Amino acid sequence: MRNLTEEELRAVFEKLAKFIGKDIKALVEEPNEGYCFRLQKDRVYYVREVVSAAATHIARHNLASLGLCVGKFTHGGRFQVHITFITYLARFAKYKVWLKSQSEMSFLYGNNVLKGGVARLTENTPKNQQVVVLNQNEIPLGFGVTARSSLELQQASSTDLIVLNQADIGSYLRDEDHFVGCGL
Amino acid sequence: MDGVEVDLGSLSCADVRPILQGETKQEQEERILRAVEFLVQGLFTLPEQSSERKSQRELPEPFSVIPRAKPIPKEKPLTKWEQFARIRGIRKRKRDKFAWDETRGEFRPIHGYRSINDESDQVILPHDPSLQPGESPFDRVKEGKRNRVKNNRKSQERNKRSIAKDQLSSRPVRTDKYKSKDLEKSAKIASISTRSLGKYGDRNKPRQKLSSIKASHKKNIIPSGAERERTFQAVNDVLKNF
Repeated sequence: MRNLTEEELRAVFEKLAKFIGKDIKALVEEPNEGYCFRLQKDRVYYVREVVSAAATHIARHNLASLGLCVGKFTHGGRFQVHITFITYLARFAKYKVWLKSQSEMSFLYGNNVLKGGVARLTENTPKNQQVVVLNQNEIPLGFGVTARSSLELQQASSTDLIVLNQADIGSYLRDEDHFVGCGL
Repeated sequence: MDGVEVDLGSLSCADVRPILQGETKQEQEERILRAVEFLVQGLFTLPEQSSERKSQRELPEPFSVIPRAKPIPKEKPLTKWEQFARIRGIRKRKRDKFAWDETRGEFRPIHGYRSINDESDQVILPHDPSLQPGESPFDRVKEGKRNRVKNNRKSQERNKRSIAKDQLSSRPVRTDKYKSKDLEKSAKIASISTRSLGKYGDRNKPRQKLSSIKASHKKNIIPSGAERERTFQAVNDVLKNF
């Protein structure tokens, strides 16, 4: 477990800014001042400094996870956000998509969102924009990237792809073994 | 007897009644005294074997079971000589420790330091025809002693090893269960060890400590003040491009 280098921090914030925009400051300012980012086995964790100090007493080999997993760095050096960070993403997200109750299940199974499933979309959502997917009760279901802007949405037919599923909370059940084994 | 267990055989008495909550020290002392009284009474009930000069009584067999503090010692396997002696029927003879040394005019121990056969302090040695020209008889005496000591040690080691071999043969040794971490650690230790255990070798070359490998990882956690600066810097850099 170690701090992130400047480059790594920049990579993480750049990725998060795609979801959150200027609010990435909120992750490091009040009231989240006690939180910090830590790197363990290519995974970035968002954890309280007190907790991370306690975690230094655990051998690296034995430390599975700490705090909240933000995402991981791939072999190629790119940063991927993981579903575990969905609560913070949903809190600060600029662009959101609300799903109709019928297509909720479909999305949770890992499918993409079609126009027929979209109940609402934030105004002026551009294309290729990272969005957070919520259900009618404002529960975050996952996140993805828009395939069509909100303007194009009106002209689209009901079976056109609107949001590509990148991560959803259904994966907690689907990839249960994966989560338990690698300590997300 | 009334909550007091007296074991005359082991000369012990115990008050086995439960200890109450509010029992004072004085009450506890009274209990102890009472128990001792019972013990003494019991002793006087034993059959007397006194004579005029002494008062004697025989204690019965003790019945209290006192557990062993340590496990029963294992039987030591016999050394090579002991096995041989057993087979041949050789019995130990009681020997004297000291013997009169005529030449020196004093009692000397038969074995070991300053023994009667110890020739290391001899000033004059008789001529031995088997001596080669140039060979010193004093050196021969010293060498003989050295060899004896060496052989003695060898036999001891041999005995130890054969004993260990006997003891191990009953339990199979699992050498395949080394974890890779243990092997790594062994390799690290081996990489910085010397044959002479550090006694000889390159003194100028600083020996790499095993802990230095670990210490370098600890430095990766930088203090939070500097870290926070770094994080803010990264956030600002990213927001610049937004």
